[in-house]
This record gives sequence, structure tokens and C-alpha cells, in this order.
Amino acid sequence: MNYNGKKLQKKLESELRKVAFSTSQKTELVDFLIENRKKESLIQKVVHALLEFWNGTCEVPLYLGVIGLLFLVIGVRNTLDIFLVDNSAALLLLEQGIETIERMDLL
Amino acid sequence: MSLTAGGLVRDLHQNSQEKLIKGLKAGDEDAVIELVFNYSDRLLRAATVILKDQYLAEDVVQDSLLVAVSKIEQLRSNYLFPWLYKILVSNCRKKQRRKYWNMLEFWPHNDLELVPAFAVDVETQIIEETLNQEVFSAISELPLKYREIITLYYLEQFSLEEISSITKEPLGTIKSRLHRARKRLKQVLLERGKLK
Repeated sequence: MNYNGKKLQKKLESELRKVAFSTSQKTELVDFLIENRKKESLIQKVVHALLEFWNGTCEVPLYLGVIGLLFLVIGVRNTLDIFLVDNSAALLLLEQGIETIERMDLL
Repeated sequence: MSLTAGGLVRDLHQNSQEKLIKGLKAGDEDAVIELVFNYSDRLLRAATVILKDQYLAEDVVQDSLLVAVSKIEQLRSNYLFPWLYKILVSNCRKKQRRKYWNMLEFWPHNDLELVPAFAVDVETQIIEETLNQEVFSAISELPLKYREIITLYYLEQFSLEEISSITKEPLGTIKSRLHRARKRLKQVLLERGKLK
């Protein structure tokens, strides 16, 4: 580093000497770091996020909500056929269900 | 002992850094206290120069230290500070991007948090004039990437290779950027009559 570089470095250091955290800020920062250091498992993180959302402390960004809704609509649309059952198929399913329950002696 | 992080990398015995890293990985509270009380000011100064705003810099340093302490297990080398500064620079860049979006008022988080950049710069200007911060003021006129490299090279005394690792940019890019940053800074200082 040439002379100008060293002069620049010293000048900058001296100008920034007053830029510092206070002792109380540092103490709070230490407490904050120690408290938040505890690692959460992925499941815990998801549960925590869901609880925050449910309690209204966290808002889902609109674009994420729209994307989620789109996926839902596309998913339902593609699987709609599963929910369409004609009368005869419904009757057959019902009869089979009743037979199964009778065989298991639940009635 | 040098007052800068890059100087610290060279001056501190490697054992001291290893001891600190070991303490942080073991969850030792004393290691966290040492990290904050001995090195947070250095991080704050670097972030202040990069962001031109001490209040934003305080947030960034807090976030960076939290990431560092939480993810210390990911550190494979025995040198803490280049890794710490990598996190800091990354967070500074994110903060800078968010600051621009907030200015445009597309996604205001909170009305109280919406501080237009010109208001921050006026406050910085007053502080600079009061404290006669000529060099800081001149560096504040440079673009973000130039402020980063000036901070890491001159203030923190990292080598070019370390800066390349911290900023995730090729070494050639760092060299040419430093050259351009120096040239631009010299121009600003000349215009202000601080250099002859």
C-alpha cells in the first residue's frame, strides 16, 4: 500500500472511531444472540411459522397466497374426475362398504 | 496489534481464532460475549461505510452475527473473519436492495420504517460536517461495489484474495474494481479540494 493508501486508511479509521455500539447495546446483542442460537428442527420451524400465522402475527405476502391458490385450483381441476361418480358406481361403493363393515362385525 | 479485521487475521495467533471458533461451535456463552464485545464495532464501521447509514448498519451487524452464531457449524476453515465479513457484505447488499424498494413504496413494511434515502443522506451530511468526516463523505459518493472494496481493502486490510472470497467475485474483477474505485475516490477528493 503506498503512502496515499496508508494516509487514507488512517484518516478513515480516525473518522470512524466514534462509530461504535454502546455497552448496553452490546449486552443486549449478546442476550439476543444467546437466546436465538437454539436450533429448531425443520418440523418445529414449520409449526412455529404456522402458529404465528394462525395467531395473526405473521401475514402471508399476497403473491405467495395467489400462487398457492393457483396451485390449489390447478390441482383440483386436474383431479376433478376422481370426485365425479355416477349413481351406479356410488351404489356399488356403498354396498361394498356395508359388506366390509358387516364382515368386521362392527354392526 | 492492528485495529483492522484483515490485520487481525494476520496478527492474531491462529490459536486464538481457533479457540473462538471452537467456543462458538460448543455453544460457549463466553465465546459469544468475546465475539460481540471485541469485534462488533469493527463490523459496524465496515457496514456504516458500505451502507452510508449507521442505523441500517446496526441492523445488518445484528443479523450477520445471528447468522454467524447460528451457522458456525458450517465454517470449515480456521479463519473466522473472512467468513464473517462474507455474511456481512451479503447482508449489506440485501439491505441496500430493500432500501431502494422501500423508496419506491411498492411494499412498505411499516410507515415508520419508510425513510427516504435523501433524508438519511441529509442526516449523514450533518454528521459528516460536524465531525469533519471528509474521507467518509467522499467514499459515500461512490457506488456500492466501490464502497465495499474500499472498506474491505483500506479499512479492514483484507488481501485481494480474501476480498475475492468475501464478495464471491473473481480476483481479476476485484483488482480492476479496486483500481477504478481508487481513481474515482481520488477524483472526488480532488473536486472537494482535499487532495493536491
